[in-house]
Amino acid sequence: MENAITEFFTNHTFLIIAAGTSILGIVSGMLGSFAMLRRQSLFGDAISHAALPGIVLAFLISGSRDSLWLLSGAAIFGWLATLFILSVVNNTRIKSDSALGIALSVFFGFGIVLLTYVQKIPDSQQAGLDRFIFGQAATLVKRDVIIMSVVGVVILICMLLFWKEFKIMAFDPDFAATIGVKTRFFNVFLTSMIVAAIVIGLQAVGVVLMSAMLIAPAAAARQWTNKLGMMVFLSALFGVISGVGGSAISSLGTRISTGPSIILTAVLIGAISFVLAPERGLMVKWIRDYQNRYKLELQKILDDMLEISLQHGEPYHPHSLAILNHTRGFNKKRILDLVNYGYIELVQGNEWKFTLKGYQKAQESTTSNKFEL
Amino acid sequence: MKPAIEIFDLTAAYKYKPVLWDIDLTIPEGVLMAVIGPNGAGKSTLLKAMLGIIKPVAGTVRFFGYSYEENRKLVAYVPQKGSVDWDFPTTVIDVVMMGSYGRLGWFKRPGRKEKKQAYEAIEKVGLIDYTRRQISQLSGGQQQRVFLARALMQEAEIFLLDEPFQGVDVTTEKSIIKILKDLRSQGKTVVVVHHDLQTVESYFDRVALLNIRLMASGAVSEVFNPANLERTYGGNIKLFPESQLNTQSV
Repeated sequence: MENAITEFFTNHTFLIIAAGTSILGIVSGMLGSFAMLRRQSLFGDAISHAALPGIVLAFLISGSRDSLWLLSGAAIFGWLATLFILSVVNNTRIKSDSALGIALSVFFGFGIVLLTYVQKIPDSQQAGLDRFIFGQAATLVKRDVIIMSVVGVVILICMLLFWKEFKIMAFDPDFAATIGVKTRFFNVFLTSMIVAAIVIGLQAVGVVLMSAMLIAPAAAARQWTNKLGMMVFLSALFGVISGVGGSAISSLGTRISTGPSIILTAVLIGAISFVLAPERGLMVKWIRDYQNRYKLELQKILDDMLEISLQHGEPYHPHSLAILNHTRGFNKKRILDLVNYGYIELVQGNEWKFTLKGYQKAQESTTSNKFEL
Repeated sequence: MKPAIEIFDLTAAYKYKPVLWDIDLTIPEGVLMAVIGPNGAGKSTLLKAMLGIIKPVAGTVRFFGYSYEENRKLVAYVPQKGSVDWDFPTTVIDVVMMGSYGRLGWFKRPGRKEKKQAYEAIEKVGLIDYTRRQISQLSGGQQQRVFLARALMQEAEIFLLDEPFQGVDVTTEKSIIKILKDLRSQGKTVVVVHHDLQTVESYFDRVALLNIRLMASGAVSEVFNPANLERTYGGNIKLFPESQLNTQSV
């Protein structure tokens, strides 16, 4: 068994796949951060679905199943969809979310129609175009990986060169315009890079799930840091882990398509990040909320007790527990906690009275409104 | 001497609806001016059209005789606080540093000099204890001051601020106006979109009353009067009684 695993990871085919999905992870992780921060998440989904008719048409026109051709078709249609969405938003009363929905379904529907048509043509079955729907990393060959790395390196260089422009465009586009950043140009530039990132992922992840590859690593990365640079780096890292991990799961004879297993890996990382991240994580929030709530409850009970004993005039006189019950809501567990903290004592099981410490605490809490256990 | 800002025949529209109509306005150097007017009067649009964020239908704007494209460095713009996502992964110092991006040019990153300058700007707006804070962990007033610090970082001659007092507490409002008055005393020209008529007289020395058209502009003592306010706000506002207007100045 151990041998088989070692062999698997040194296997030439797997190395190709791992290299391809790593590049895909880096590129989609980096650009996904920007897509997410610029609120273009759904936009990525529309573009990736719209790529399908481009792929099939490229095949019909060129008659070639060469991925360079097919992905060029995908990129052109990604752009067509972008222009379509922009013109719908600018020229009609339709809002952008509806425009995205329309673009996604129209282009994808057209793609499926073309795909079923193509599959009836003799000898076209072997083109295996349907792999672009859910993705099949196993079909990646060395040449694909080379194309992907060229695109990846170009994107990386652009990112480094124009970091400050991209950052300010994402944070405050109006301000960017006033300091002379060519916002129109950078909008087109960033969108083109997002299209490119989507396109190079299509073969491994597929048109249906590709947008998750943009968003899941970015959303996970956001949880761990408050710095844009770190977020982009982590997002790329999570992208690589998802890409390689997912394709490993899929290649290890599980017969799961690569696309879904890559995405599920990304989503798993996302889920862990959402729960466990310090500061922004849900766990920390739950604990903090619970602690605050608990302290507040104890403080309120002490407050009420102080009021009752002040009415009586003598602070250490015992009072029946039932008094607390009538109008103030009585929580037996909290009262026992107060006993454990030494703030009150129980007398004969149905009455309570302040301890010295508890009386001071209650006074302190009402005067300063601060309460620490 | 050239006036700081000259606006000629400026007209702007969203789709077919004019938002600014034929504005002619000259703003002398070294003043602290309020732009007031009812909601939808085009106050924010005026600033945006001056800077070309919104492309005007007609008209020209000159800053010390230059068009904005010719000399951007003369002007710093402070947008409304609500115009950005404050949950963006960035820190106070980082945002303030963005004020230097305009003069850095292509491919250059801010260096030690810019960092030092950013600290000074942050100090000036009283946020030195928050330098490394993520910007969502700031109060509304602090966020507004971050934007102000970013503008100070721009080393501009003219400052255009869009509703800098919106949603800030009294203390912050006072500290912001103090910074703006300091800028004026350094000879800078400051234009502020403002909505609180009560404070116009105590904060500003000039005022422009806007309701799509420019209703009046000039020294506060000359044009900030019930007749002009009535013309600007129409029936939408109850004018204060005369006596209140006169006793307002601090």
